[in-house]
Amino acid sequence: MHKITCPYCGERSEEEFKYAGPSHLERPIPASEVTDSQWAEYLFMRDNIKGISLERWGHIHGCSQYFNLIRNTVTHEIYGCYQMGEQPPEGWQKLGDKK
Amino acid sequence: MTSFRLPSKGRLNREKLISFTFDGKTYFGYEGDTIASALMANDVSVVGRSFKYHRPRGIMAAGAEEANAIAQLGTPPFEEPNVRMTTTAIQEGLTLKSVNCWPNAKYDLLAVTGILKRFFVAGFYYKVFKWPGWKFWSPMVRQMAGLGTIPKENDPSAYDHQYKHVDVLVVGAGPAGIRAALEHAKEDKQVLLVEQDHQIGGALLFEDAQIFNLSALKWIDAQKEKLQSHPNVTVMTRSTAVGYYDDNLLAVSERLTDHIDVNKVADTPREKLWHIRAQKVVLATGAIERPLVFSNNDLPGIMLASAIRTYVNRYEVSPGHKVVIATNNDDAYRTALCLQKAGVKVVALVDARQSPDGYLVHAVEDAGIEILKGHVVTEAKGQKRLSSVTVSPIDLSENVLSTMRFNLKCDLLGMSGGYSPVVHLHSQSGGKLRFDDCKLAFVPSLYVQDNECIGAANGYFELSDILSDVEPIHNSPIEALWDLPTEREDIRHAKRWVDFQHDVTSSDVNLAARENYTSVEHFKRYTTTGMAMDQGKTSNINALAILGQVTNRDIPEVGTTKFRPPYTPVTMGAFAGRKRGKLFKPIRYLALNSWHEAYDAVFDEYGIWTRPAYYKEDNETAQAAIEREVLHVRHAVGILDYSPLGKIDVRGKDAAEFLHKFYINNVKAMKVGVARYGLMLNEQATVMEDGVFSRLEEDHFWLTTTSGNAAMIAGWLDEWRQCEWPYLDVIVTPMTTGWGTISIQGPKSRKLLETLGLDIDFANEAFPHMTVRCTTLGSVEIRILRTSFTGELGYEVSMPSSYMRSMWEALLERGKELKVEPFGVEALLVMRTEKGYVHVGGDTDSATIPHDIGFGAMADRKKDDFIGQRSLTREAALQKNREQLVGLEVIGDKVLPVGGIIMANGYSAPPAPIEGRVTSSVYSPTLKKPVALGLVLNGYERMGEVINIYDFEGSYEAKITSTCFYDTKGELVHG
Ligand SMILES: [Zn+2]
Repeated sequence: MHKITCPYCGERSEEEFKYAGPSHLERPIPASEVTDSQWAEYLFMRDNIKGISLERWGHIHGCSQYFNLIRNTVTHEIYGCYQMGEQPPEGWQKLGDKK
Repeated sequence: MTSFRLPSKGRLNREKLISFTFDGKTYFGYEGDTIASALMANDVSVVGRSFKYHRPRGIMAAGAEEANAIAQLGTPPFEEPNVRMTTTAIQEGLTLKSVNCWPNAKYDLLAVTGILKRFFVAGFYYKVFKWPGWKFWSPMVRQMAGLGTIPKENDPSAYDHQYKHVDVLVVGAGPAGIRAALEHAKEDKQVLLVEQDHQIGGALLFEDAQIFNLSALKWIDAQKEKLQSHPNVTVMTRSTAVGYYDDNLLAVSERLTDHIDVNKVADTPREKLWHIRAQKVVLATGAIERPLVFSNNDLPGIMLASAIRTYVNRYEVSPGHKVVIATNNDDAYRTALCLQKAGVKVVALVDARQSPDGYLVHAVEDAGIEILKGHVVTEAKGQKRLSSVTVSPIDLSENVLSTMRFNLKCDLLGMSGGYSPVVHLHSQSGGKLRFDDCKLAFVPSLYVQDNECIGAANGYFELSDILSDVEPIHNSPIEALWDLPTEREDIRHAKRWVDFQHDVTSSDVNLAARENYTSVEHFKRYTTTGMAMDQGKTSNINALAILGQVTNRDIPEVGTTKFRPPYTPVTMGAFAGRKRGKLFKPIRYLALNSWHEAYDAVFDEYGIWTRPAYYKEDNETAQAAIEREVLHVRHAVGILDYSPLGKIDVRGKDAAEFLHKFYINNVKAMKVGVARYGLMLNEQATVMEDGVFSRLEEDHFWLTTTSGNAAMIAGWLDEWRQCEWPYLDVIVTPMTTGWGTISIQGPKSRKLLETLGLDIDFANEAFPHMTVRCTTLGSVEIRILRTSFTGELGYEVSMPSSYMRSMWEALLERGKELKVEPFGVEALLVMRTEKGYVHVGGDTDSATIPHDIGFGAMADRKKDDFIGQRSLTREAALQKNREQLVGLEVIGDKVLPVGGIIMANGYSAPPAPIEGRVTSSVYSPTLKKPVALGLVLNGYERMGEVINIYDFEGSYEAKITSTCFYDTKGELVHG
């Protein structure tokens, strides 16, 4: 059970949050120009990330705000978060490297 | 007689005699006894039967690692299966039953079925029971095998969960844990020390030790005082840390009342499951001694060497008269000294090592006890109790066993194969282990959370490693003795037990290896080593080492299986906590609940809400009441408490554009005051939600949703708003519980509304079907939607919940002349089925697209983007053969079963290809016949076809029709 720091409320238990899929997933539109394989890619294909993963989380039993979380799927370490619509901080790929 | 009570040294309260029964026989013990020590004092050797072969088993340990001595504790409704006798204190009137045997542990008739032996080899689950199939075998096997029986009655005791945050959590109150707790206490940290025993002290509760000038017990008392002197230290006994999760969250199971009286409802919870978050975790969980592997090593009378010390010193009982000790390390020498001090005869100490020369070895020699160096016990002999052991010389360096052998008479064997640190919690925390070749044990290496293992849990087994006040002694190193060399015929064919609880032998390990189950996780499942409640506390390392030997790998290469919570079994009651009975899940009552109660409503659960199913008049049946309510609405007017209806406000400059992306309808084209029946899809184009929504103002929409979806849809809208279209100026406000709704249905509903004197013109032209009007009554905001889920003229009147009662009562009062009556959910469901209105989730499933329920044209017409649009042109969505929602006109007078299977054309009885199912079915009081809806393969093209339906009760016939059975032209709603 993680402790997750909501950027609006502070540190809370994972129970209060909802995982809402990978961040930065581009929704292809308009429908008439989207091929079956592009649509399948968006709808079904997910990377099974080993290491650092950028994820959407919603504090649905708290402030109801969604944000992006940087999480290590191996060590379960959480490095931080950034707002919806923002890009991850520079150098996020290297966050897991040993200091 | 073998085991017996020793003279008092003050550890037990000899003043207080306690009686209890085991397998129907009464025994006596003293206050301070565990079940195990008391049975031992009563000379009971056989306390249970083994899992597969029903071999007699005795007490082998003195703590949580006990694999044999488990019992069914207490009487119904308080009974608990699989309680370890070694960790449970006796109490007056306690009743115990041995598990896994019939009629009792001593005379187990199931053991006679020696034929079982052939079956239960490694992987027997997968081999033996293949023919004629597991279904054939399972009732027999389940009868014979299995530990304990599930209590049949509801435990009336309370259980609870509690949360706690601390700076430092110390698990285990042995010398290492106590020291750590005091050190952190001095730094002003909030410290919690948890201990599974009922007192602190750990191994010092039974070891002869001198700490500075204090005996072990005096030292413990001194530490107790020290801990008490720190207000920032909390000590919890009878509390086992059973699980270690992310971010230093630990589950601790605390037993609060069982030691007072198992068979009684206490004032406090029986058990508590604590959720503890700690900044830092210190694991001082100790170590567990390993058994030695030799023939018949499961005979009663064979115990872990340290367990013997526990019984002699702590429980004042000797498990035997004539004792042999077998070991590969120095620690077991302590047992020889302890027994001699207690006046118990030690026949010999059999040490596999050629020339041990540690301090303890000399001490035993000086005590005049014979030490057989370079020898091992190869076999235990006896019937239901050890009577002698066979000993042979061994050369450990060459792994050669001599053919020479001799017997030693004894009734107790203390064995020690070295110690394994209790690393379960460390491993659960994500920490890694390393095999220490000197200590012959897995010890913690890498930590991934803020925790540390100390003391024996970290491989430091000597007290002098932990307490600086203890004089260090010289120990001779442990030497590996995992299994006996198998060249000798008598060894090769004998059963040498590795996992006592799950009845796994060394030959099972060999067999699994030969069959290539060499990955440790495969091996575990194939042989079932380390499973069940014991989780391999004593067996795992021996099994791994033997697996390594037969596959020519060293132990680190074999590795360990993942340690999983719980460390010791947790009762279902503790897991459930308060979430049982009425508190199993929250019950939601309507604001008008008390009115409904007073009006003889019969309630039922609809999703999360408790709602009136119907109102009962006199002695009428449910069916009669529902029919009466339906006919009353159809002919006059009825009011329904419709408050669970999902209600969501969507406001903002971009509200129309926003909702345009969700509904298949053209939202942007809607005029103010207009309402629409809308469908929402998910991205797979599955129909997710239907409901009436309306435009109250240019920038203000009012959505109503299925009551079961109210929270989900509000969340769905907001998630998309925040994550996908954050640039849209829109606010989503769920208001389902804040606002109540009264549905007014029936030909006289307009007249009823007009009695309220609102400033709304209810004339048909002024306020037509599918429009909305907002007004205020006094200062109360009211929204009236002209819509119908019954097929009659109807309105849904919504207002803040606190005004529901006034409104409800006003309608009933003013509508007296119109003969207004309340009606319940069941009547509504009958009317909507008569009308063929779809119930999303009931008449649809996860494959249903708008085209399958008659809304294909609407979806296809819309060119702008909406959620799910692209999936409507996937191959699966476009194909002809889809299940479509149709009406089913029943032939005959039986009501079709919901879920009834529709058979393919030409079949009148199963087995038959399945072409759909009945989704809704009622007896229609309006039409005086049963009507139904169903999803039928290619249904739209099969109008008029007669189909056959079956379920477990029988078979039925129906004709495929359109979904609407009542007022097919739809004129009434416009009346
Ligand atoms: Zn928050």
